[in-house]
Amino acid sequence: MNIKDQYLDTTSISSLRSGVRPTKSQTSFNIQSRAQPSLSINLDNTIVQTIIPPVNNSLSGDIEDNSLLHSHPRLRSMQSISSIASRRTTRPNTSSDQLSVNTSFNPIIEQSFTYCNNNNNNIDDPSTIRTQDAAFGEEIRKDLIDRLAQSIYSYPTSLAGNTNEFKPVVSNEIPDVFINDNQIGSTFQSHAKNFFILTSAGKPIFSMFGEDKEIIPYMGIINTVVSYFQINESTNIKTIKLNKTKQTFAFTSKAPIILMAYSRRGETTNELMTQLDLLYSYLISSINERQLKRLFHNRSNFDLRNFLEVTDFDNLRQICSLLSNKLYPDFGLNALQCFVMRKNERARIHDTIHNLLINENKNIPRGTLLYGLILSYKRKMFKLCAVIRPKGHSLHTIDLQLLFSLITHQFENRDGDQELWLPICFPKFNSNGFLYSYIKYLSRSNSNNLGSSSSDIEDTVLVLISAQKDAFYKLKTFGDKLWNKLQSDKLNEYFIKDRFKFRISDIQAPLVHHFMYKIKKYVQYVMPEIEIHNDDTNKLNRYENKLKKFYGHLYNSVVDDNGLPINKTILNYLHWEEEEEEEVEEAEGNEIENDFQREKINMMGLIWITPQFELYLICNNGVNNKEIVLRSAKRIISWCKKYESRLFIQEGATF
Amino acid sequence: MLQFKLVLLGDSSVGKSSIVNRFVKDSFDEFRESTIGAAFLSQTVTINDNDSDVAQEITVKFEIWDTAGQERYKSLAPMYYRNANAALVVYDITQADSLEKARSWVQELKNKVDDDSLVIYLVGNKIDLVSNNNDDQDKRAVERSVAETYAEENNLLFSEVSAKTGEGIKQVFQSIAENLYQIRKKQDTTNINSTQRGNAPVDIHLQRPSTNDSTSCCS
Repeated sequence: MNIKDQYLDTTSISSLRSGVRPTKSQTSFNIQSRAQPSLSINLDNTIVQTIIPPVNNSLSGDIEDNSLLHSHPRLRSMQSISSIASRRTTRPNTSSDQLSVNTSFNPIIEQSFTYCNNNNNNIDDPSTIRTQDAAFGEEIRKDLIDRLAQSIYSYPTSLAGNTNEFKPVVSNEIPDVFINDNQIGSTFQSHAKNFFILTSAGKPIFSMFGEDKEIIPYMGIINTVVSYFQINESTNIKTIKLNKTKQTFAFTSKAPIILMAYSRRGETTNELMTQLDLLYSYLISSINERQLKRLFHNRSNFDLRNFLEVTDFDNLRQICSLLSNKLYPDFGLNALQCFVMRKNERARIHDTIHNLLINENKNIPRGTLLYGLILSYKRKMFKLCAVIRPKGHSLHTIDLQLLFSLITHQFENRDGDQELWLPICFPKFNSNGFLYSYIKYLSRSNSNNLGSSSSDIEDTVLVLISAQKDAFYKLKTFGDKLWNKLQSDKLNEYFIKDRFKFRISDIQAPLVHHFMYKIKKYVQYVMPEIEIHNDDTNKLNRYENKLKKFYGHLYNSVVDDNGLPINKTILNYLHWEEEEEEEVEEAEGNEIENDFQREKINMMGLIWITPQFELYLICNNGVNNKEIVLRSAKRIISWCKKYESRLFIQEGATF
Repeated sequence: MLQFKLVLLGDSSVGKSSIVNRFVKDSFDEFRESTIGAAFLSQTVTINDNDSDVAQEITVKFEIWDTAGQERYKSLAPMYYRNANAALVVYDITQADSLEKARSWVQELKNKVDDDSLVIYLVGNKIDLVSNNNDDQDKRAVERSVAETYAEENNLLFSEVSAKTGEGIKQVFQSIAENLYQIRKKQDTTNINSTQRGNAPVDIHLQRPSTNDSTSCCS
């Protein structure tokens, strides 16, 4: 068994695909291929028109798009940040150069970092920090800022187990600096993002949006474009970029499957290719590559949809929506979240599992169990509670994420007392074979009964994975014994309730709105709990979408065209501001609204990548003092280091 | 308490999971995710033993394998029916193909399962779609008499049910339990006789090493 060691390589997928940075040119197709280092073809107009006309007419909607861009003056592209900043004059900004932070800060991390001025000019110009407006009374201002800062960083103790104390509500109010691109209009063409999966013969398999009769012509076009390059250039087309309308088409061809992503959200080719890889991996998890090849071997016009199940399409749709609309960092960071518990608590659980494995040696011979997990599951997010794995081996995060998406759907309307036996192919482990997963709910909250006392009980799932398809009863017996043991030792209490939820306000990191911190070694990350008043789903979606875009911009600011960080160690600030014209448009609203002045947009984010960790951070609106932000970033890092053994699974139960 | 293994087989989307759900939870979901692999669950029923001298209630526990109907999981099926005491072969009365599929399952069971005492129950699901309304009769694709004759010829138990309304579901499991109980009683008597003769049967588990399995990752 060969477990791939690309495990730690977070951005490997797209980087594997092509080696060299392509040259950018506005009027050309950017074509990158595995075989040729950098291939940039300027197709003259005639050729472009022969291939593309249908795309231009409808799918891409050139004309509509231009008008859309104009009607959304709030869209601020990063490229012109500095120029806008220098134009601005009127705003009394809340720049925090004078903010005093009482606690003295010990620089725990003393890594050298590169302040990276990359050529893409999306890095904040130091000149953007402007002087204070002297009209404001200095006293009043200081007082206000002090109080604000205190309310934001006052309760450092929740990780220490103090859950009952009062916590301030953390505001979800950050401005949206991006175009509202979710859906403009209701037609098929109006979607800002779409995914297409088809066979190499051009038969549709799946599309995120669109009825059959709408998508079939596009499937034909996609197939033609891909084939054109395969035949004439003997290479695979990777991307088409229309810089004017910010549209990107990304292609992946893995015979007998072709995938294409379309986006006008300014996503990079890389991001799209990574997303396509995930969709392809899902297909493989359901029907492995060997089966797939066999199906198409003699029948190149085979209709794969007959072979897939409703569940498969549901899962694909779910993955697409997670990729497009939700803050689901598991995919983007290629890492997993861990359920927080004390170091010795987790150690006891792992010891119990380990001892049971040794004692049960006879019933569950070596080689039967490949991998095991105890997962906490809430709001469609899985967190690791415990890991059982062979020494030195691990499953790829993508494989686990695919497993998670299967579990989500299989339990949707099944009772918790059912046990499942699922064949699943882990494409990053072995794309030609199946593994078998024994899945059982250890505890389940009754989410249907609102207000029931069990609402704070977490869903907990046990997963035991084997390579043997008849190992069900062995794993079941082991699972039952394990659960009995955990219960009798009262260890289940450690993960049945989430006692250590933390918010950004629990960390003494002033002016930070939200962050994600990933330790590369563990391929795990942490982020503060996202809470929305009354669990309003629409609000939550909007909020997650905003965060997702800020983080997306941050990430893209430090990776090259192949999705690799431009340097081993990078610290980068990003600044979002709005254009002045905005106010004119807003003023046209009704009179009552005019009494309230909308907060000006002045957002700052920080990304810090080192060989050990990655930190993504978004500040509160109005913060633009880089020193303070950096200080807060360092505090977050030292906080995460301090609690590393609680926030991350370091070893697991190895055997 | 008696314990029996029961397996549900049949084409995809004929309503196997819905039948189980009706039996176990007495509820019905219009939209269900299709099953991947199989789900394992258990449920008990009580039956009355009227034959004995003293009437007594007997608890029967079913260990149920609710399997995926899709062709691509077919290679897993033997694992589920290998040690089964009963098989519920389900078809959809509005889909003629599904009866064909059911026939092939019955055939496979007869060929592959040595145990003569395996109880096979043929069930036509979704009668709610055609009930008591002449207009709706169009939806029926499998005549009751056709399936009934087939069941009789092959010595199967048979009934038509609706997981949606619950009609007939309970009776199916009840009658399986009763049948299995009768068989077990007979076996017990013969076993006692054979034990007295000193030839107690020995359980031998033969298992091939699974590494030769072409679908496993170790191949």
